[in-house]
Parts: sequence; C-alpha cells; structure tokens
Amino acid sequence: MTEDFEREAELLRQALRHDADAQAFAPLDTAELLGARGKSTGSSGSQGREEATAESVEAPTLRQAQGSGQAQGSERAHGPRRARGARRPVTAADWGRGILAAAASVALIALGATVLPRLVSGGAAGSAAVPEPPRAGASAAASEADAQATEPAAGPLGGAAPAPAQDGWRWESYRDVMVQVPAEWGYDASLTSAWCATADGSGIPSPSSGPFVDLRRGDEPIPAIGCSGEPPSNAQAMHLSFRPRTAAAAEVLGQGDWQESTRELGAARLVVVAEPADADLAREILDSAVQVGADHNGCPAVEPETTAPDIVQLAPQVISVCLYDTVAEPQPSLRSSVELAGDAAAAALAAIEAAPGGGGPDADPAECGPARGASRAVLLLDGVAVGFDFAGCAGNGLADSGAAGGLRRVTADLCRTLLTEPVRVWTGSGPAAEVCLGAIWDR
Amino acid sequence: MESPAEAEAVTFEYYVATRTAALQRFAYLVTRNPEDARDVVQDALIGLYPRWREVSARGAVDAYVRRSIVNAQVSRWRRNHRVVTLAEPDVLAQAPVSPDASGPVADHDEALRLCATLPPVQRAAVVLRFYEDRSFAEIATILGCPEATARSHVHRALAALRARLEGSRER
Repeated sequence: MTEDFEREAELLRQALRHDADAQAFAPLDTAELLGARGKSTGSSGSQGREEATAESVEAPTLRQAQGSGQAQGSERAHGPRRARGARRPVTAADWGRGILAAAASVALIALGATVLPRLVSGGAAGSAAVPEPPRAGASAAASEADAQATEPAAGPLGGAAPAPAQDGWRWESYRDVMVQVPAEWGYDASLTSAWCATADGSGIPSPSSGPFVDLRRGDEPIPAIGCSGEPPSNAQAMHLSFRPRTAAAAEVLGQGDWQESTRELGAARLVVVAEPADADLAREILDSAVQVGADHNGCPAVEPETTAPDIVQLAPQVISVCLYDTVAEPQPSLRSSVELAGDAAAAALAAIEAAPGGGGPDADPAECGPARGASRAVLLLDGVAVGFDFAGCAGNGLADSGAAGGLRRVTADLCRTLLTEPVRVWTGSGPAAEVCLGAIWDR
Repeated sequence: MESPAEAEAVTFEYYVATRTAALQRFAYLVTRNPEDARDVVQDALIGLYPRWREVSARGAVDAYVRRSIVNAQVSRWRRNHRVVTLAEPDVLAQAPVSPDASGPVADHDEALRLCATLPPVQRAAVVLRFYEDRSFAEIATILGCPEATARSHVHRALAALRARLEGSRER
C-alpha cells in the first residue's frame, strides 16, 4: 500500500468497523449446528421417532428394519467376535462431498408394540444367583410394573449388592438399570442418523467386526444431516444401547432384517439391535435387566456427595470410576462405570500422584462455555466418593486433600487411566476438556 | 485449541463457542447480508467438522474457515449472477444513512457502497486488510492467491474509492 491511499484506507477501516459493529452476532450453538441426538432432518423421521417413543412404553417392543428383505445370514450376530474399534464421536463424516443429500431422513417405520414373551435363561451355571428379571412384557401387568418402577431394587445404596452375572455374561449399567450381556461382547459406538458421513469421505461405514455394547448413551453430538436409505447390513452388528427413557426412539438399523427390541425400566430405555436369528438372545439380554440403587461397580445411580481424602495416603486397591451426566433430568445420573483393579488401578494411582496440585486448567466461563461440564466422574476409593471434574470451563481437577489447594490438575495421564471403556466422554468445554478428551480419543 | 491431541467434538465445540461471533462479522462484511453471513459460517463449519482434526493439527482453523466463507460467497455470487450494484436497494439499505451528502458520514457511505460493488474475493481482501488488519501474506494464505494478487485487490479497491470520493465531490 502506498501512502497515497492512507486516507482511503482509514476510511475503509472506520466504515467496515462501524458497519460490522452495528450487527449483533451471537456465537453459534454447536448442538444446533450439529444436531442433537435423535434429531432428524426430515419431518417424517421426526414423527416416526415420536411415535416410537409413544409406542415403546410396553417392553420389550420390536421394530424391524425397512429394507430389501435380503437375509444377511444369521451367523453374523452369533457368538463372540472381536470388538471393532470404537467409532469416533461424530460418526465420522464427510458432509462436504455431496454424499449426504438431503432427502434422506430416517425412515418412518411403523412400530409394532409387539409384546414378546419372557425368555427363561435356564441351564446356565450360577443362574440361581442372577437377579430374577422382571417379567418384561409377559403381560400388561409386567409392563406396567416396569413403567412404574421408580424405587431401586438392589445395590449398595438400595439394599443388597447386585448378584454376580451368570457364567459367561457380565453386567453393564446405565442410570438405575443393570443388564447382562455375553462376556465376549466388545464396546463400540452405534451407527447414527449420520452414518453416511464417514471419515474417509466414501459415505460407506466400515464393516462391523462383532457384537458390542454401545458407548453412545444419548447425549453425544450427532451431525444434523440425513443419509439416504439404510446403512449397509455389514456395517451393523448386534448390540445393546442405553438411552434415557425420555429420549426420542428409533435406532439406525441397516439393510436386511435388523430388528430393534426395546425395554423400558426405571430411567432407562434398553435397545437391542439384532437379526431375527438372534431374537432369543436379544430377549435374554433385555429380560436380565434389573433396577438398582447402585450398580455392580458400586456406582450410585444418582450422583453422590463427594469428599476430598488424601488419595495417595488412602492407597486404594480398587478404583471404581462412575461417570455422571450432570445435565440429566431430573438429577445428575449414572452414564457408565468401570472398575479398575490390579495394574489398571496402580496406573491410575500413579497418574493421580503425578498430577500437580492446584487444579485446572480452567478458562473464563464468559469466554468459554458452561463452568460445569456435562459430564463428571466420581471415583470410589475404598468406599470414599471423590469428584473429578474435567469437562467444564472452571473448577476442574481431582479432589485430593493431599494436593496443593485440595485439587489435582487434570492431566492426560489422569484421564487416560481413569476414563476407560465403557466410560466414554464425548463433549466438554474449555482447556481441561481439551486435555482430557484428547487423551481419551488418542488412546 | 491447536493441539493435535484434541478431541474433535470438544475442541470443535469450543471453537464454535468462542469464534463464531467474529466469523459472522467477517462473513457479514463479505456477504453484505446478516442472514447470508450466518448461513455461510454454518456451511463453513459443517465442512470443517469432519476435517477438524486435520485442520486444527495444522493450526490453520481460522484461515480454513475464512477461506470457506469466501469460497461459499464466490459460489453464491456465480450461481446467482448476483453482482451487487448500487441499484439494489436491499443492499444499500444496510449502509448507514447519511444525514447529508457531505462530510465523514457520507464518505463512510461511499466506502461501504464501494465494498458492495466489489466481487467477493476482492471484497474479502479489503475486509481482511482493513477490518482485520491482516498482512498481505496472511490475506494471500486465506484467499489462496499470490501475495501480489492480494495487494492488487486492495490497491484497486483503494483507487476505486478515491475515484468515487472525488466524483461525489465534483457532483
């Protein structure tokens, strides 16, 4: 720029600044931008989900995939399989290449409120110790009992400790519900309405490698896009998903004969997606669900009061990590939990001891987002509940009276060792969340 | 925010929360329409999201988004043959109203009217230079053009503004 134009340059500066400042632009909202869970881009899809909610009160219910009707072979969903790598938070995506067109939307599927008979899982060793599952869907009375069940039936806070899972099975938990799945099942993230938004831009999700428990629990962001039709059948695998009972219904199924069986209990909706040949297994899983006050890892269904012991001095042998949705209604509720013992517990303790005192990292909420994150972990250390905040803009750290300021700083090692599957965090705000989620997803 | 170790969802959310107001202001100056500004920023972020990891690892998120905004506006402009001219009252309505035909306010009007007539890329270069105080090297990076081209865009806009101001005084 030559000096000859200084006046014009200054004029442009002032004019542009004045013009831009006259406009009031608010920051955009990520959830609105990407779409909240269950949001559909098509009105028919939206209506379909509402109908699904209304009709799936009785449990379990069955929804069948729309599709070609081509049987994909029941062997896919049978038996133990290697768990595939968990999908990343955003079902992966390339919206920008025109893959996702518009139309799509999740198909409106008439939901049959099919009441399935209770399946008795007889013969398995140790089955006598398995909590008697409610007679889910066996009768209108049973469904009503599920629907009205609000008081915890078992668990440390609700009475007796939960019974061990039957042989070859394990417990999974969400909110105030525990349910058994085959022990060989892995963890993964289920397909979403944005299934065609793949990281490689192909629009074709990678083939599944086995049955799994869904790491998505109902509050993760999903791009607000619609994909045309159903995902390929081979991208789907038999799985169990947990959803808030109040969430919109309808899972993404897949071409072929994939079916969705649903049971609502306590604050949760349990959904098993399976092929017809695995319908019995789906029922067995759903029938094993029990309502509890605290789960198999000792985690209370509702976020407990926490304290700040000297963790290093406490030297717990076992650490239960309980992850809570702090924005759950009507109260912060259990999202997932894991028990760390042996080497895993030792690694976590080492990470705790190595984390510097003082807490943080924090940011100014005015320039960041919510002070408190949507997720919070509570560690159970020999029965002592300790708060671990990492997903908000302020107040981050692990409560520890042995550290400076009574807080240890959020570090990548802390998050990496404590937040292990099925404990999975999808969102957060601020620098601590950047550290923590970065560590988790790069693990 | 630029660490490659960031998780996509959280850092993207953080970026959206902290940067989108400023990006919309930039987009407004490029599009000359607040609704279009919101739209192009949203489109740019939607395009960014699946590439977040890659783009943020390069530490070039703002440049990427700004270029997306400019590209989107260029596409719109070409698609709609929308050469914004003085004859378009809806555009002119966005410029501050001058109480009289002389003085600094009138000059501001003239500057904005000039901007409204510029093609999108040239307008973006002017906005980047005089609203965001960017260097020509930065402007060239954002617009994906040689630095000389960026200089040329800005220089020609200044020359045009001078001609306009002189012309208005002679009238």
